[in-house]
Amino acid sequence: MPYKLTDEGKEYLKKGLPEKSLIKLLEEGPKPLDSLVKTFPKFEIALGWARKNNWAEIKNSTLHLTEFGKFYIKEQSAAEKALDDVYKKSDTKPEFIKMLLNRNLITEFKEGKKESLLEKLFKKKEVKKDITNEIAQLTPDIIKEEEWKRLPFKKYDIQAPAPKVYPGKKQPYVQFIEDIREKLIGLGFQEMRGPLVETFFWNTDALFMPFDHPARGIHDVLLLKNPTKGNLPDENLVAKVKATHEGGWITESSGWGGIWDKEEASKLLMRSQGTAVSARTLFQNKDNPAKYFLIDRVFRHDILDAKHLMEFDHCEGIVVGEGLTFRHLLGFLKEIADAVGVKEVRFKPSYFSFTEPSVELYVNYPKLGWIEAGGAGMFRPEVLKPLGVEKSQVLAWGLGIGRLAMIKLAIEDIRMLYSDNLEWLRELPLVR
Amino acid sequence: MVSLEIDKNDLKKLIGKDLTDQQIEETLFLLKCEAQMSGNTIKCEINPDRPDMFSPEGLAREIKGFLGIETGLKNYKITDSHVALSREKADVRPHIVCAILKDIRLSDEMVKSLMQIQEKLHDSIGRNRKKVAIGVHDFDKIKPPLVYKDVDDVKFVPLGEKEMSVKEILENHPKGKEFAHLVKDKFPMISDKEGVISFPPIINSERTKVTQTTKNLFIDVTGTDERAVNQVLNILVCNIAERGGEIQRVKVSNKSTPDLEPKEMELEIQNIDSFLGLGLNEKQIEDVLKRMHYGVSKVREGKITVLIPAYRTDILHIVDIIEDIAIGFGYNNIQPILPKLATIGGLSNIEKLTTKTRDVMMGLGFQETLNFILTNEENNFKKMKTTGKAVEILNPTSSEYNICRTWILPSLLKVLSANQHRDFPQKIFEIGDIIEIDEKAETKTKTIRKISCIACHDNANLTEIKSVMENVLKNLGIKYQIGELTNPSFIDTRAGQVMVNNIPVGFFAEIHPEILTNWKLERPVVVFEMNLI
Repeated sequence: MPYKLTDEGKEYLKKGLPEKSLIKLLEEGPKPLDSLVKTFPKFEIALGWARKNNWAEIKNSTLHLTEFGKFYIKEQSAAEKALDDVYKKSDTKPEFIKMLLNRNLITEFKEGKKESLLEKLFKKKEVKKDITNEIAQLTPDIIKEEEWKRLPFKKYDIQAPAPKVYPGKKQPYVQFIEDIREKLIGLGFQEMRGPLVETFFWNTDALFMPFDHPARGIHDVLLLKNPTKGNLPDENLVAKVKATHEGGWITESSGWGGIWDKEEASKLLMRSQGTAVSARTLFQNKDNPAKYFLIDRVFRHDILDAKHLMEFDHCEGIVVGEGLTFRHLLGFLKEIADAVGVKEVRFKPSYFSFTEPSVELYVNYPKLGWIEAGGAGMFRPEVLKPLGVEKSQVLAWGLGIGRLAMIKLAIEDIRMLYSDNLEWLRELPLVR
Repeated sequence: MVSLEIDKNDLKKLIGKDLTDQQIEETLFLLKCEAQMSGNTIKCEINPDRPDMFSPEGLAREIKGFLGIETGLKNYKITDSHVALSREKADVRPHIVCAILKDIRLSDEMVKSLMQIQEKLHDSIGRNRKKVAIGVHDFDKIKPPLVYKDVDDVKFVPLGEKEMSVKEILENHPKGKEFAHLVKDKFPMISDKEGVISFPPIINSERTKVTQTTKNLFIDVTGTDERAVNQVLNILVCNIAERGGEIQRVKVSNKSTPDLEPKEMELEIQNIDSFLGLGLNEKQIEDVLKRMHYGVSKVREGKITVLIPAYRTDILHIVDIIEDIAIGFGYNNIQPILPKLATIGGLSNIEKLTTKTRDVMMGLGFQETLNFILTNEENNFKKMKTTGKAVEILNPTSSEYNICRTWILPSLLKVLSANQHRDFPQKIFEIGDIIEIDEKAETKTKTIRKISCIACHDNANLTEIKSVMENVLKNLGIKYQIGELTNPSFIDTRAGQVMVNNIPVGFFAEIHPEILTNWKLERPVVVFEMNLI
């Protein structure tokens, strides 16, 4: 064998690996990290390997023994076996050699002089001779020379833990969103797009939210310092929206009264609702029968904590068609609840300035009870007429996908949806 | 949402029927309110479109109608008083309306309810007293006639204080300090024969304050919007009158207020059905309307003339009445159906491209991450040793998130720096949006979708990331050229520009050790970032 133990390797062979000593200590009970750091020799190495092997875990700054760790207190671990094998010069799997080399517990034998090519070839033969009793790694040579007919295969320990690999995976929230996308596309919804920075015109005014509505104020939306103002769309549309706000225009509404200000409407903000994109889309689509959806970022004046995000993903949809009614809207809501795996729904009257009638969707989760899952309604004539939707009804709905994803992913902190915790991202099973 | 606290026993007394907690909760749910019982208190969340329901009187009225205990248009007792108020030059808050309520019994519940609805109306329709402010007085302490006008200065005794000048009130009185921004150099005052009774929107006088022995109320509502002041007055008098008493009009210049005449709207049965699809007939619609306290004055030839109660300030259009028909019918009684509307669904082009690129990245063994678009100068520029222009937020909630990112790389380095104790190699990516300033665009900005990926481990090098890049570009079928790139974030001569038709669309690079140190990273990092095209 071309390997020998280093001094460190020899020490561990005698006293045991530090991770092993650590779990033996933990058998007495969990230990606080700060005292271990001070008292336990080679603690960093011990902790690193104990965690990597899944023998111990940290909870609230305390180190706990895992079930797996308990098992290995008495069992020989792969590293211990490999160390032993190298010492006894018996066969060792290449990946264990690599691990021991990485840990600097063994080194290669250094020959006094450089090996000649001939010597190398000769040595290869020797190695092959070494395994005359059984086959560990099947090699092309063994197959070609049919050595396997003469020699038995070395028994593989199928219980031994395999090295960990991390495959490339989709972010868990993305997985959840993709499932919803798939369902919506199945229902005939086409995805719509719009800019993340919006004018108030599209974000609020085109949606018939009164110009002095608190939801457009400094405490609700993120306004821009630079750039501050955008361009308004074509004059004709702007004039219609203005007339509708002030006195109802031809919509047979009383409007909100007061004076609607063009300057305010051209101010920019970070898009606060996906409905801005619905308004843009309707202006293009007019009366064509259609279904559209959007799952994309919106922004609010909220302080980041376990329950609030200043930036999150909104899911909404619109259905355009003649003869659509409130019953159809409820039909879609039921279908969408089904998309997130909920069968039992309940409808509550609600209020949004751009829809009437309006409704909130409540869904029943076995353990959590009734949860508000989204809002919906039929767009008001004050929204539709100025955008050029003359004959159709438009059903509109929004879904609180963040909240639903939290339930699905079993997380309690909404920030986890955009988590930077690589371990969580790697270890979480696929969202099914 | 407006939150209310209601006394359960008081509500039951107003309803006149002993409902169970569950009945109350369910009825309120079907009437747009979320209610939670805690002991004798009901916590209600009311939608802002229904300020008439901001008090137990208003809620009881709706519950009684919904359950059929008392239906149809409410007729409150209303007569003319002989009190007049003359409006002189009043530019600060040009609109004023008043009312008197006679023979009121001021129980504890009523005082609590009155204070609560006043506060909620101030906050909502009143836009924190800017648009509308309310004053409530003991009518018997007022010596008419009344005058409303702007003054330069005056002395009077504000509620709970000694005599003060306007200046002293604005500087020292808590309410004065809170609302001083609503008045500048002219100050609106309502006065009677003996002096000031109210300084709207700030404070009333001590002299006319309401006490336990008050029997008759005088209410003034001032503001900057004529429609809003009338709405608030109507809601107040109707809700107070739910507990009895008589409403009296006050002559304000040449108009008598409050004006409780119901407005009329004409609905077509066919139109109602085109919204709701419930197939209701005239009789059913009339029943439902009455349970929602509308009056029905005429039903003929498929048309219904509806009388709208004066406190219903949310009815702008017939669709608002149609919603009430659905609510009266009960959302729980409506059978959902799906329409026969064949459309073809699909992803947007950019999302299709995102999905395909994501597949390639996963195949190459990269873990996907999702990060915020909002960031800060420090992360986006300074730590990267670069400068540039980004979209800036005027009112950020935190200095951590006050600009929009212009590239994804810093987001990914931030993830790495949070994971230095985890297993290596670390290979992560994000496909997400960044925002660039673009003077020519409608919103002066451009939202751009990018792919960014980084590899970090002891042996990370440019060859590794270049092969990732070539893989992505080849699989997306993009023909590209590579150009030289110098950037302070990267090691000189170890960075390249990706160009399509000679236009730069991305880069691949090895991060400079100084940048790694800025992010507290101890291993080499290589990156590939590109616009999705």
